[in-house]
Amino acid sequence: MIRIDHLTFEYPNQFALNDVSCSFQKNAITALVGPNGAGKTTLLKCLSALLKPYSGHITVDGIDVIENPRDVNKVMGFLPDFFGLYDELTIYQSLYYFALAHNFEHDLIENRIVEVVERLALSNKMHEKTGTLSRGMRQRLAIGQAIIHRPKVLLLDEPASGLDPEARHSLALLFHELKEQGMTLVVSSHILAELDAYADNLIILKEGKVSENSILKEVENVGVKIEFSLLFEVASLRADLEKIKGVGAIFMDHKNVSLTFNGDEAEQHELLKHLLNAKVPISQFYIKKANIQDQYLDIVRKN
Amino acid sequence: MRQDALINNPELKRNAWLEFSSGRLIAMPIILFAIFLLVFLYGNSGSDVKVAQDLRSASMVMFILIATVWGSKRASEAVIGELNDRTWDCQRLTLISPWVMSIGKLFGSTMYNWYGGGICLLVYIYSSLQLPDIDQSLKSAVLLVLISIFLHSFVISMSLIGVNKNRSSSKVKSTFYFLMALVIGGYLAYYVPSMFGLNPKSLYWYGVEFQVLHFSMMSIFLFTIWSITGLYRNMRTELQFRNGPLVWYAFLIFIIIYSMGFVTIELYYRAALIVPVRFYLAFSILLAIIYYMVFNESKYIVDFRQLIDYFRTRQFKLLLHAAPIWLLTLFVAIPVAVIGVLLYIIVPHFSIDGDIAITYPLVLLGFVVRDICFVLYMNLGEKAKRADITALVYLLLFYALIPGILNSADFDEALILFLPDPDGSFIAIVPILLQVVAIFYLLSNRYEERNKAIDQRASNINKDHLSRA
Repeated sequence: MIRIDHLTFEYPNQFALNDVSCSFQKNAITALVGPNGAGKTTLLKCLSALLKPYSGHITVDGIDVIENPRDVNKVMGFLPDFFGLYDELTIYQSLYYFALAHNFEHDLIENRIVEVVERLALSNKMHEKTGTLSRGMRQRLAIGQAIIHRPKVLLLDEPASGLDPEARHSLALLFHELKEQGMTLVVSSHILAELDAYADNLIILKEGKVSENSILKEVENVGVKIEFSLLFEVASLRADLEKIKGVGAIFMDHKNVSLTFNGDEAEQHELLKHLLNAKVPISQFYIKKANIQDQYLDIVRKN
Repeated sequence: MRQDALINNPELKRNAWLEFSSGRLIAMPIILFAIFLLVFLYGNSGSDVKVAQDLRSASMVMFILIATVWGSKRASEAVIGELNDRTWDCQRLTLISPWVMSIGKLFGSTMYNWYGGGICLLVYIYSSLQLPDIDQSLKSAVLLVLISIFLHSFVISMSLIGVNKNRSSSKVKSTFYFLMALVIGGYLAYYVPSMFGLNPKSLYWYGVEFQVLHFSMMSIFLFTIWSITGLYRNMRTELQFRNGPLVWYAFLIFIIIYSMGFVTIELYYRAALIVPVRFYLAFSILLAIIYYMVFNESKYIVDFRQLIDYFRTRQFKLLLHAAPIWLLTLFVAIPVAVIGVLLYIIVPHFSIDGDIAITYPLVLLGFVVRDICFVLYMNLGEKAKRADITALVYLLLFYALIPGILNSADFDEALILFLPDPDGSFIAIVPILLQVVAIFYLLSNRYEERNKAIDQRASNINKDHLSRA
């Protein structure tokens, strides 16, 4: 759906994106993560043609973004990290403006607005001025403005920032819903635990480069993450674990052990049995689902 | 549904919602009615003609205040306000075309002012109908409307250049652009009745006599078209479209031909002066535009890296599209300076009785190139903050303070280093040439250093990335 080749973007004193190449899967939610200044916002702005890159190519749904920057607006919606709303307009007027600005059929605008406000749970506020809305509602309205023209791709820069847990939850549900309707979403966020709720893929940016581009489901297929705690440290434990079939990367921190294990439930049972037979003083043993936070931290550790 | 510039223009619709609340709709006519009633009551003791004259004057003043001045203020905030309120990017993400957006901003941001201005115009026309010089009054009204549209479009156009230059700033100020409108508007308001020549009723343009009012109307009309064209092209740039240089060159040709027309035998009385004065007028206009644009356009190192990349890879079309206006104008000023030297040889009396040396156009060009290199040198510094202002202060030092000191110290021989000398000898070009070489050397060194540092940084990140992989 989105393909980026050798994209470079320079600010006067730094490379925000340095020869970035990656692709974004269609009809999936891709989490774009990375430390501050990694280039996430710049990448999203280049994708949406708000910024013109120094060099490289971007294709979105077959549209060459560099050559035809405005055409991409037909198929893309973007919620910037710091966005403004027209506080003196009502929700209805705001959405009407953006529908009109996207060449939406005049006769269909009313129905589309009703559809969007219902989806965003803003129906009862439709004729209230946006300046009176809560932060969560403003966020939803901004998303409404970005999706009013039924884009195929939706980019969201830090959409959950500043929202309360309930608003975040409803945002996650909305993203699922949009994906179910065939939309491709790219979500940049600092709140990694949040992304677990909806992200299918993960792209990690660091210093303007892609550090990781993976499908989260595949991570699960590689193996499970097993963690266990010990009553006391065992010096030879790492060597013993490395001999066991299916055991992958091992991280040991005093009495806490974390490892990846490639095996089914029966083999996991065998592993536990083996450790107990070897008199390893296990106090807790559990399988931890691989998540974005772990994956991100693993990569940071590796680096 | 297609967006039309006036019907279904989303920007006009949005501004209508914002500007025309019922309170504001009522407030404007009430206030204006009160003002005109006051004028009427004060003048009521005089004749009907006197009352009509007072009302006509009052309505014209109110039109200038509401539509021209306040409208220019609103126009200066049309894009900058959106940028500061963080709604501009959302607009850039829509499918609004540059033309529809230009018209939307031009008449949308000033909609309320035109509402008030429209009421004033109605009163103006009504009172003019009671007076004998109706024809003149109506023409003046048209002229005022054109001046207002010209100023609004000019201010938005300039603010778009400012937005492009200051995109990384958290807040952009619109005051400068409003002041610019006030200065130009003040100039036009003062000079419109007797803009050119000693005779306020008529003027000569390429030897043809025109009524000042008619000529002003025609001039303002043409400048308004160019101003709206400029707004459209700057809007295109803002919306990521590429602009070719041809329209800009067409404007330069227009402004040169237009300005040269005022240099006539009727004004100067000596045919021998016409060619050199026309030449130096055209040349000065080019140089003034270069100076204005070099300070107002963005001068980040990344812009120059891109230009040089296009040049190296022979992508000349992209190079011309990406070239700043000052550079495009310099491309014209260089051959024009050479033409000046040739005219000196070909045209008799081009030296204006020996007052101007053959190399003078090249000396002037040399000073401009030196100053451009200096401004760029300041801007390409690693920690260049307020580089334009600093460069401006230094230029003031070069052109005013140091020559003043040298002059006071009776050391006039050294003035040639700091001021272009029209009647200098042939070698007058040498000092400025040496300065140009020196500043260009410093500039290219600074550019190379910065360039290498950027490439090195990128290479380090790449190596680091590869080693991790």
